[in-house]
Amino acid sequence: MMTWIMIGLMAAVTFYNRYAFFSPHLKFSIGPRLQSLLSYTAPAVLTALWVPIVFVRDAPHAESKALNLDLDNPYFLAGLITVAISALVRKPLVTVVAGVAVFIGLSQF
Amino acid sequence: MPTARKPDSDRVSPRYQAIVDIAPLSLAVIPWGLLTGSLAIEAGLSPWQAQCMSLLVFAGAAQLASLNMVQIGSPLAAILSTTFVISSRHLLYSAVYRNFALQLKRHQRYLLAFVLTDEMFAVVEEYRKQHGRFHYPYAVTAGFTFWLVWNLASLAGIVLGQVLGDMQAWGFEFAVAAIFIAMVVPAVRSLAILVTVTASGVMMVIAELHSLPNGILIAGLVGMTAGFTTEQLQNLRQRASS
Repeated sequence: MMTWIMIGLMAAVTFYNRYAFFSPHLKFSIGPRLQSLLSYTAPAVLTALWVPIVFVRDAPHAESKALNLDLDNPYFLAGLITVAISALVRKPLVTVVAGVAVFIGLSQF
Repeated sequence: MPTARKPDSDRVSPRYQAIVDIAPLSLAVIPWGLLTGSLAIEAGLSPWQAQCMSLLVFAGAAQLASLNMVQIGSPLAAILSTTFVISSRHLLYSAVYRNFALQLKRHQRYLLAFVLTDEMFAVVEEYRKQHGRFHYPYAVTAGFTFWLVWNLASLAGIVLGQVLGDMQAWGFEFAVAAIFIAMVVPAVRSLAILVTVTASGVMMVIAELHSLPNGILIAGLVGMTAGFTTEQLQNLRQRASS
């Protein structure tokens, strides 16, 4: 029973975060300045999702995390190469396939 | 004959385009779905509970974190606050689509919110950039395609159990990074966006090194503010020089 309650409440929490600003009862409007600020959401938040994987070394339960700027580390080197590939070809699918291939290749050494 | 052919109609329908666009991101999430499904069973959930979690909560990082917490016997309040913190970045996505959502019917707003994930947001923003408008059927199709794949992968994880060895060896974690690199880098088309990405990235590294719980949201807000400020300064300069 506790597990069902947990699942229900977690679903409520994630739905709340996704719906919060859709509510018409919320009395606030997004003016041009706020709209302009929000236009930077995608590059800002999506960057925060990948940067730790490439630049921070972390074992899931490690106590201390460290900056990862070591070319011997496949996450860092493959990350840099993937950024370069993406800047050159600008095609998401090609970038992902090539990037992962580079990572797997580098991991073999 | 059905309705008259639209002049200059798109080559492919937006719904079909949505499935094509979300496909690579869906593929990359499969290993995480497998992991989440098998971890749920390991944490003591029944198969039906494990599936319902993926069906209803639909948030990979939050599900993985909560299942780890269940295993170490964390209290419910701690699990819920962690869930809130991890998924708080979605508040920003919700704000971005507020003006579009307000024009929708209530059930459409619910559906759009339910599938508003990182991956869906990424492809919808890309579509919006290319076509200059928000397209509701595109967004919902992309969202539910991703939801379906997430749930099938979770189901496979529930049924098969520990099928995955070392996640790192196969490049699964790196695939997530590669996907978001592939979505972000081509979007850097101005100084303001370059500043956004740099500020967010630096802030995120600092947040990670200091184990700040709300890192993604903080880094996102710092990056947005930095980009917006750059834009304002550029405008000021332009006005001053003209």
